Amino acid sequence: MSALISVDGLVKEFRKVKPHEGRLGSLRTLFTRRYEVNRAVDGVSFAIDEGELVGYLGPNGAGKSTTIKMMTGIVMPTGGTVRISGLDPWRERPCNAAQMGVVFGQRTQLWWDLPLRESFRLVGAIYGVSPADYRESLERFVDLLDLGEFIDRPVRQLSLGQRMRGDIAAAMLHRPRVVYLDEPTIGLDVVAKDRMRTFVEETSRAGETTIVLTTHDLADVERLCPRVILIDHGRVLYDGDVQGLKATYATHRELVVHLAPDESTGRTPAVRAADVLGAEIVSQEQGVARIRFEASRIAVQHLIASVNQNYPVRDLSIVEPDLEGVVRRIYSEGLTP
Amino acid sequence: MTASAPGLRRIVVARMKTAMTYRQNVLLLQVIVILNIFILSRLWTTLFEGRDTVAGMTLHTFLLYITVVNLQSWVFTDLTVNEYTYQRVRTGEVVFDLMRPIGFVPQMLAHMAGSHLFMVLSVVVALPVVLVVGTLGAPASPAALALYAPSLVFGYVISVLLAVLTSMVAFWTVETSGFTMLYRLINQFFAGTMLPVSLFPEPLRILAGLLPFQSTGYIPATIYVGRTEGDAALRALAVQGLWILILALATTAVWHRARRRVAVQGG
Ligand SMILES: Nc1ncnc2c1ncn2[C@@H]1O[C@H](COP(=O)(O)OP(=O)(O)OP(=O)(O)O)[C@@H](O)[C@H]1O
Ligand SMILES: [Mg+2]
Repeated sequence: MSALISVDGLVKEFRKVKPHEGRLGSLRTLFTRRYEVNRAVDGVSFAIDEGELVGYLGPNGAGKSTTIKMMTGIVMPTGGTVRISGLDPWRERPCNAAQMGVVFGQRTQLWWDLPLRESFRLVGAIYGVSPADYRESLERFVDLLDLGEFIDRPVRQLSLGQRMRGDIAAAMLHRPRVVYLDEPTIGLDVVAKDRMRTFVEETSRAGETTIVLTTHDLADVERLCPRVILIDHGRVLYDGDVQGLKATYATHRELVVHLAPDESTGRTPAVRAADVLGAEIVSQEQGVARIRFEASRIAVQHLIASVNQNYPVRDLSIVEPDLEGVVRRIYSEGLTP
Repeated sequence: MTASAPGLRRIVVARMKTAMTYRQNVLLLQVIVILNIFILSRLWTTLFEGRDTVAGMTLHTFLLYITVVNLQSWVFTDLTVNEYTYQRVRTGEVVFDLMRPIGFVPQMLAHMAGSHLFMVLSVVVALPVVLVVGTLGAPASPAALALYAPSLVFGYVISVLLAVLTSMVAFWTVETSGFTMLYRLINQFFAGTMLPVSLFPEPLRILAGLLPFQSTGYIPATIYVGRTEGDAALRALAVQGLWILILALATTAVWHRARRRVAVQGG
């Protein structure tokens, strides 16, 4: 069985007019154009199976949105291929479009001046949803996303969170097979984010909807995505599960030691470099020492034993690497495990 | 195409409802058109002083022409959809139009149909006032009416195609408002809304003959008042038909190129 979505060597170049510098530069730019080519997507390949929920991650300007615009058939690829259940989204746009739903969190597909309900009607009509299905879907969304209170208000009067919920519903009302969510949690408060996550989780659970999710909030990813694709400068850096990402890139852990004051002197001792088996003491303040060690080189139990032996320990804890730390490191230092 | 009919119909309805929420805007447009007809009627009445006919028309026919051509132009040169397309492209919201299973051009046509239907309603509402400030009357003859109907439809189709074409400028440049204003001025002048094309000085008249605009205003309006009749009217209809063909081909070609250019700002 071949994958539902297959992206192969995908490239998108943007050509920008490069202005001439110096005197009469702008005049020269008008007549002799020099172009500057920017490869926003530079040979991206991946395959996604039916029912998967994949986090498509990368720093600002990595090429995420551009990839999604090509997968949705909005933008023509410069090179490479995209196939969504065998269809070329650019050439067979209407067929592909009929089975997809899209949220671009920074914009809205809702009809600004009209009540929210009107936008849903429009989606229902455009995708040929039968009246019975429409009613059922709408009821479900009103329920799950709590739209009841503002469904009859003009969209321009909605808060960002309300609007985003409306957008999600509009993107999924016709039960698309593939859903692209480009930053669906941007600007939402904690409660609204949580609601959104629950909704995406619920939708994915049935296994009938394939979801590609782009976000800068890694809590979304930890909660929702079994698999992530990480890109930067238009290239895939990592494709696999979140655990694997951590294991590959988060090679260091931290031992946090709370020291007890010395019984005789009443002073809290400091951990010396000699007693940590070559690990790095990151900080030492008010009786709390943070020791960073490479898990593959230093065994935790040895480190703990050594500390226990030499100091009065009140409490010990190991801080596992979080995704945010891992991703921050990859974004800033590049791909060297 | 048939599968997209319900969607397109829904766009028409939504567009009309949107126009409804901007009633004041429509009211203002009504005032502008009524003033326009009023000023032109006064002006031409004064200019007729001491003459029986101008450009082969009696004063009454002339004023009827001015009123009819301006009422048509009121609906035909509606820029709502140009403005809408421009905003969609500028903000990148056009992604949502481009991701629909319905083509972008049919969607634009539906937007226009909705906007124009509302305009027609507002024309009907304003007719009593137009009757006072301008000149309203029946077509010159049953034959004139029979020719006017297809000519008006052709003129409408040409206007719509021109609007689609000019809207697409937004895909090439984000600075379209100056262009749109200039276009509207040229369109209205060469359509003959200020004076009939037959009164243009020679070079302008030749130019008008080479442009599609007189097909949207001057031709149907002169058929209505009986100034263009018989063979001349049939020839005029043929010219309109030719323009539809040319503009339809141009629209297809331009859209084909525009689609490849779509980069979508921001994201
Ligand atoms: N319409 C455009 N014209 C020119 N360059 C563009 C255009 N759209 C995007 N780019 C460039 O392509 C690159 C990738 O942009 P893209 O929007 O795909 O990034 P992204 O991964 O979605 O980033 P973010 O997380 O900030 O949304 C950027 O360098 C951007 O400047
Ligand atoms: Mg983006």
